[in-house]
Amino acid sequence: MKHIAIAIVLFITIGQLKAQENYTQSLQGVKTAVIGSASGVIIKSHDKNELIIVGEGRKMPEKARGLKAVYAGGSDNTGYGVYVQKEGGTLVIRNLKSAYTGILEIFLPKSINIKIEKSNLGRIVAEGFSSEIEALTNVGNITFKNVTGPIVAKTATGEINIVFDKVSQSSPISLVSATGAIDVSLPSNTAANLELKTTMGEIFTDFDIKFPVPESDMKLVSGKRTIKTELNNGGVEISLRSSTGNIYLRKQ
Amino acid sequence: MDMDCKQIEEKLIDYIDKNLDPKEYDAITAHLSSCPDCQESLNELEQIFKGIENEKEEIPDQSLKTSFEEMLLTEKALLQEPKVVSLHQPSKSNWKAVIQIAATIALIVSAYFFGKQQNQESFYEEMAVLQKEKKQLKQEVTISLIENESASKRLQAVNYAEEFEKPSNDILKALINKMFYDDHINVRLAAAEALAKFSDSEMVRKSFIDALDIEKDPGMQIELIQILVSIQEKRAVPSMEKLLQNEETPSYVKDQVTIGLPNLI
Repeated sequence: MKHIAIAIVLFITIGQLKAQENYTQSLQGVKTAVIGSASGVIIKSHDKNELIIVGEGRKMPEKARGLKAVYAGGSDNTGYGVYVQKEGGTLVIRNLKSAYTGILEIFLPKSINIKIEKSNLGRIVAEGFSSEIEALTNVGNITFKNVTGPIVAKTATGEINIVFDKVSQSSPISLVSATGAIDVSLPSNTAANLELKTTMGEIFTDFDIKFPVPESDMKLVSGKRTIKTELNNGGVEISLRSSTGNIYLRKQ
Repeated sequence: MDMDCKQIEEKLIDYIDKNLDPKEYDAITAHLSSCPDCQESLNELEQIFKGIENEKEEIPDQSLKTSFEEMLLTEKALLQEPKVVSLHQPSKSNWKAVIQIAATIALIVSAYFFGKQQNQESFYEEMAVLQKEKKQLKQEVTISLIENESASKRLQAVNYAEEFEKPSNDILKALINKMFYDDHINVRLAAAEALAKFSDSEMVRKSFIDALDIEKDPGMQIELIQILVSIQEKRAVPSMEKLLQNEETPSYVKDQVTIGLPNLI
């Protein structure tokens, strides 16, 4: 009994110590989070209406005690190498650390809209959001799990991997990749107007796709290959486009 | 003027009412004073007239009225039965009744169709007005939605714009603007694809040529090359040749030019 009590106290203490390592900010009145980061970003959802920046690995080195970190991207107003500013209904979160120093890991409420801007090298991971997500990367992969959309995502050379819990019918979903593959899993009962387009890649799916009637003027269409079809009698627009990458559309 | 009693008697009513000329009146007065029979007759007449004048006017009481109405209803009921029966009974005037019924039905039917047609005409007019208003509203909604801060909403606006058969110049300009400047390639690609449907417009064709000339994104370059080839826009040939010569152009974009160019030359 005594040991259990000690264990509990220990756990609570450790938990609090850990909690103190994180940066927390209330998101009262905030509808959209705009995130800029040169390095990768991992965004997880939680039930609290606040932003948490996981502090692990972001603390100032021992030697810097009494000094201030200076970043080219702006002022560090959190002490975690992140600039955070509320602007009306928008919260701006800018990772000031370079692409080579660790991933930015944050928690946000699951209903907040998320825009991830110009993450160049880093990957973007988001999990458990029932809100609108916009994401742009050059090289990094885009990986979303347990999301509903709407989603607008683009990567130049990275891959896009998205697993939908269900698909929001509110507004279109568009995924674009230049050379990377697009891999999407949808619930089998998803109602959607599907547009699959790849210039040089191939399309693989286990959904029932009606193949388009060949056009008479094929000579004009050249390498362009588009498949437009309805899933479960049609619904929200889902557009998957890739120039040279393959498209994988999975039923789940 | 001498008159016998019979003549006098005949004139007594007029005498009482003084409807006689003075001569006759005086003669009768003279006769009456000398003839007790005629005097008695006059007295009797005067009595009757007085009695008539004094007689109160009889007002029928409520019970009489009620019983009258009852009587009327009974009479009506009695009358109705034979009326109904006469329609069903075969009689000489049967064909006449049939024609009357047929005429009535014809009138009702034609009135119905006339009314319906009137309604339909006004319905179509209303629909036309509504549709025009709806189209205008949709154009306005599209133009405002196309500037929405959500990329997904902007895509939705582009999809709306694509559905217009004859979009206004404002819509086309908004689409061209999106094709050139949207933050998301996704929206720019969708705008280009939508515009391809309106390539009858010189403004749209010109915008494709200009766009390919300055475009840096390989995905957009491919989309533009494919559109320009499909709309047979020969003025785009120099831009395409430039892409072929440019070392920075990705090989898969050059491939598209190589495939497309022969169709334009």
